[in-house]
Amino acid sequence: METKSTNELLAELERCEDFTRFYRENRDEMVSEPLSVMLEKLLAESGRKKAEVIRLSEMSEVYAYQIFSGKRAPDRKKLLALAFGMGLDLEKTQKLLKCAGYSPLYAKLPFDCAVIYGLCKKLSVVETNGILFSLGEETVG
Amino acid sequence: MTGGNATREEYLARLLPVYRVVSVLSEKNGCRTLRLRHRELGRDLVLHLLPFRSPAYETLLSLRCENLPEVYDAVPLSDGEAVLEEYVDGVTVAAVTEVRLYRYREAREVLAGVCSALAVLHARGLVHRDVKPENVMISKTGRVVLIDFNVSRAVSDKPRDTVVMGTVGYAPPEQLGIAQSDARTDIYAAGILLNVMLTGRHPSETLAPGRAGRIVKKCTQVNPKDRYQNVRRLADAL
Repeated sequence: METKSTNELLAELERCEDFTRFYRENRDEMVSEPLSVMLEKLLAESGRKKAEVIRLSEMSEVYAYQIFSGKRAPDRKKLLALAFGMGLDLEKTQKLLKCAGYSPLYAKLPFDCAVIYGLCKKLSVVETNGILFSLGEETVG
Repeated sequence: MTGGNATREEYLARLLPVYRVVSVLSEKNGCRTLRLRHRELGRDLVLHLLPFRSPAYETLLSLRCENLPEVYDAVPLSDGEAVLEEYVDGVTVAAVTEVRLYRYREAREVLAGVCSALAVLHARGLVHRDVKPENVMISKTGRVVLIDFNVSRAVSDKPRDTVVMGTVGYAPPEQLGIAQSDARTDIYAAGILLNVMLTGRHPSETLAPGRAGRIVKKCTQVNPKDRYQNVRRLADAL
């Protein structure tokens, strides 16, 4: 698990003179695990069964199982749907997005703002998509 | 529900007290497709909001075919049409082929289902014109369903295709303006579909081996007269 925050790491990186040494010392702080491993971890922490998560994410079973098994790289919207399915909070969702190489949710973007609201209020995918739809935004999933 | 003089937005607004929006499935070329859920019954359906009237969907209203989605209503509106259709819970052939290739036996079953759907359309003078992996659904129960009739047309609509419709790679020469689309247009695309299922590639890059390759070649002859002349002959060849 991470012990340094992203900002702490960034501050160190800006100050460092020797990148190789910095990288060696902070290797364990880096996000390096495959997405499928992260998903399984978060799934276990959620206490939910995979089938239930997939149902709550409103995704096709085949597609979702492909993501969990690592056979398919999900796009950002599908990953967010899984986050809702697992009942993740904002912090865990941000970690999940970063693990997959996506930008974290940014409250100044209308789509992201609505998704953050949905995560914080523990809304369902359908409820959050209702908000997104009313804004004329794309939907999660 | 009748449309009267309602616009597409007004029609949708009338549905929202009864249905909630689950997701936006697609938005392209002015066509909007939504997945809706009945607020009390919990059943899903698909709503197409089209900027034009669709003879294909209106024909599907009266049809029942396992390999075609059930169309519940097609409502003319002042600025187009609203179509309420069965929601197929499943995955597209495109999603499957992104991860793995089909074995011949599986691909044959999928194509047989597509041929069955096309046979029904062609018998009523309709051409799908956009047969491709993204438009073939496999439901959770293994049902093969041909979807997306937004560019479907009656064979007799125009003397020639004056606007390029369909999908690059799957559209035969006649669909690109040289001659009129007919059932053999769909057969061309079905051949490409078969090849993609088996090899992951267009036949111009990699032709499927053996018998499948011979079928693909016949489907994709430049001259429609050299292709299978109807989907039944293609299905028999499989």
